Amino acid sequence: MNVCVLYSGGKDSNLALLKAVKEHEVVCLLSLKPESEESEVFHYPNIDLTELQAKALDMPLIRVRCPNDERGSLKALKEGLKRAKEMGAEGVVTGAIRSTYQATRFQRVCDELDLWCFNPLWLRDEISILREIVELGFQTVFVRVAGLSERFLGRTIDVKVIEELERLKNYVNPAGEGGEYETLVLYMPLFRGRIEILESEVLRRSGEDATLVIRKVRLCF
Amino acid sequence: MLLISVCRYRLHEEEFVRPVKELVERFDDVEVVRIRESTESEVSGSESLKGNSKDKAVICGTALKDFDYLNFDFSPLLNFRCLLGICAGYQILAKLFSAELSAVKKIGVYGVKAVKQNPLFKSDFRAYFLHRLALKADSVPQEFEVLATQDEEVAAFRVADREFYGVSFHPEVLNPEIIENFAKLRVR
Repeated sequence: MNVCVLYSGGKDSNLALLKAVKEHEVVCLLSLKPESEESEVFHYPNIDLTELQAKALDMPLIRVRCPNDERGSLKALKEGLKRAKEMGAEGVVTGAIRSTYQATRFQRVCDELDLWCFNPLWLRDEISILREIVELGFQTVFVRVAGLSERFLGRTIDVKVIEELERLKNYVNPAGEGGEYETLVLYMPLFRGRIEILESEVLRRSGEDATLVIRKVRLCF
Repeated sequence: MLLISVCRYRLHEEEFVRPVKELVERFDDVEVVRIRESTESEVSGSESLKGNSKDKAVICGTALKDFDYLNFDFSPLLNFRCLLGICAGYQILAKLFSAELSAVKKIGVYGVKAVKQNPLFKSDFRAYFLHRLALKADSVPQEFEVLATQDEEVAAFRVADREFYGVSFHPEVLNPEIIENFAKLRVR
């Protein structure tokens, strides 16, 4: 089946993509670019990198500006999926793990557009996802931490980091869903090259909420 | 315990079979059987269940757009002693006993009212639904005991005099205890 993968550039959407290509034809990636001021400041730098990731993957990328309000973001998702359908997608793959709110939205939009909906990470144990991406050779860094020590920011997720997160498990949601942390994949097995961060800086908002703003990157083949 | 996958696409098993497997394998040895392993014919569905000596089975759900499992022959299931049908499995059990499924599309989290005492749940709860077909509470066959409702829909039933249960929602999402309670049921 031809599918579109909902792609944020983080570990979950990249793992979902890897699982999707094993059984289906990925015709495009869909990235929703937040357009609120907060998102511009805190998420924009990393969402913007999806273009470079798509280049590394050699896959077409659909980018849709996504307002911060419920109705606007739903409209953006629908708009993006309609374009994916025009590119031949019959199904959509997401990296959703546990949010029934998100799952309900995706399922309803897919139903409306008559698309198959795949959520291969659904209800996965969060630590097991971290272990899997490390075993698969992903290079993934933390680009935002909230309620988690700033010392994780910019660090690559490896066995040692997972052990640290496991110790903190009672205090944070280790999968980063719900804003505990956000990740960026610099390399995974489908990438033709590796993304290198050349310049970055830490932006602090409040307390333990900090973002790694990536200013300059390059793709090394 | 046997887990029956009716998924047309293997990628959907990650979503509808794996979470159930992770819950039941804490209580029992689990074997997964795919209804569509070789072909999509009716025979394949029936054959893969025949000769399977497990007494207890869970028929897992599948994607909203996946519904041709209703064309398969599931009559070998009647030889099982203890069954739990989740969503698609609920529909399969309904069909096995000639209950009439109505077009009821439900996607999302809704409140469920427990209406009859049973070993799977004790009181009202919220559950995640993802289906296009369901039984209406006012038109179930006589041998169906309605255990829970969601609006006019039968959210859970038991086939009288059998340990066959059907739930129209996905308990693996918000109500893992229902699957655990089923796994703990003693086969008579």
